[in-house]
Amino acid sequence: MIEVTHHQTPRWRDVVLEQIRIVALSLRREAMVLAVVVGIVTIIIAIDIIGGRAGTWFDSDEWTGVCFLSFFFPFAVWRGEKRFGPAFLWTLPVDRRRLALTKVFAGWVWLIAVGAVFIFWHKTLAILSGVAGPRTTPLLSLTGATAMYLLGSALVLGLRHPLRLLLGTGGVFFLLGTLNEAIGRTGGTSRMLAWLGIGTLATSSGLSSAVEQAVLTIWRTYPHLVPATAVVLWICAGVIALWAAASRHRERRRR
Amino acid sequence: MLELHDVSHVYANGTRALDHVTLSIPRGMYGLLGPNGAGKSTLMRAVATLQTPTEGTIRFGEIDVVAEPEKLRRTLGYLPQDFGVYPRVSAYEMLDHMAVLKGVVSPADRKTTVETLLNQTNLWSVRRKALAGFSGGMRQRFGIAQALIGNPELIIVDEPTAGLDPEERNRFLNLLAEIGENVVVILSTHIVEDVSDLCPRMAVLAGGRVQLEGAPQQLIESTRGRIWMKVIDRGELARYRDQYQILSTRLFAGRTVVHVLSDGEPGNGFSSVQAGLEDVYFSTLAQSRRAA
Repeated sequence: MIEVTHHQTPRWRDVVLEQIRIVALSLRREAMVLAVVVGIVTIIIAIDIIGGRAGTWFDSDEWTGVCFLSFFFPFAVWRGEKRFGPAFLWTLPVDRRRLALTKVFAGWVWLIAVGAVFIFWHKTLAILSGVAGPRTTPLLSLTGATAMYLLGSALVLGLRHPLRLLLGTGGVFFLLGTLNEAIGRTGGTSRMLAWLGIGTLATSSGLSSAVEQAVLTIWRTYPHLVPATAVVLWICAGVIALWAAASRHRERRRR
Repeated sequence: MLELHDVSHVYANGTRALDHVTLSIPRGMYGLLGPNGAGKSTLMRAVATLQTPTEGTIRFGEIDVVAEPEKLRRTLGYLPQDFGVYPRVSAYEMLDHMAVLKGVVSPADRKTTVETLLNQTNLWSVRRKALAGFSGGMRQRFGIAQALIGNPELIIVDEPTAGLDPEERNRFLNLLAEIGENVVVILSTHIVEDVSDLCPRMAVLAGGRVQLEGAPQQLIESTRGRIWMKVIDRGELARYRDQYQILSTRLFAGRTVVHVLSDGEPGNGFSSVQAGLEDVYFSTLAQSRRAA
């Protein structure tokens, strides 16, 4: 009988560090493009600061934009990696579910790093602009970004064709909205979207009036509690969805 | 040695892709031939621990592959038919990445491993080039390089020469021949020449079952005196199909060369020819279709 040589199973610390490194390498070009764009925008803002016209750059936070991009970031992280079918990834001598989750974690590390740099950049320019009461992206938006990243990762990891689901869902919303408009029920789609929006629960027309009253009371008394609760709930939902998605790739043994 | 005993696999939709496959695969190159849908890829995925067969056992040395797949993966190299790569990452960086994930964590060992493999697969000159810019042949060579990381004892290569030009195919087969001497290498393909050129042992899979197994030379010998050839006009082909068991047809100078299987001389201008592995393969497939 052949004596089989067993090779060392990699340590998880090495796997995590390696996944962080390879995600950075695979997104190198996108990072350079982003750096060029940010450089150009910085120059434009600087010109506006000098000209005393910088107010428009700091009159809104970019929370929605950050969350939106965070949702789609996993598509970039997993680009080129086969998640289903015969793939290198699943023949490696490491636990499959954990391997998938380390890759998600690696992407999250870079998302937060880039997000933090963006927030710092925005705040620095706001300070330099001299604009009174500037609105910039808060650090708290990274929690929403995390929630959306987890949900996006669950989609990419758990479905063979995630883009089809997204396009289909978008199409359904569009059709519903169009139908609503056509039969004279305006605002229905926007109310639904607001209910689903990150950081708000209280404005939903789907909640009962009693619950809505309770939420509005809490909102007025503790104005940060409701969005914080919402973000925590969304993060929990993201973690659960991600775990379920990663579990699709777990080792299955015949009993 | 890789031992498969009574391996079957039924997919959720009821398709029986493997039906009681039993094989003993020794060290060296082993060819697995079969048409599309024969179950080759299902069998390769089962051995590569990508899916668990619904029945049967697979053992590699002392490893029960079904019960302890992670143990086999520590000594496995796998080159699937279609593999994804990070398009913007260079060959060197990708191999380095795979080496870490396969347990080669020492930077010095990794450097040696990666550089050796790049040289062995003739990719050293393009080691800094992004994988997206690789030709088909270069990608396949890269694929075998990553499969060789960690000195695996079992290498599975699934349809490796599909889509390669003759020069690339030749280069790739020479590379496989080099590595196939001391480890178990299973070459799954529907290209008969790949098996006849490389493999001292082979099996033919069709309909999820092993139809034939043995050394190619011995299998060819078993058809000695039973393969007959004739050159006919294309318009006569339908008539000949009704009369004879045609194994293969090919065009030559505008006419059709037919090979038929017959225990006795068929007459009618047929001449006996030296059988090739292709004849063995086609006759096996024909028999399996009749039996089905």
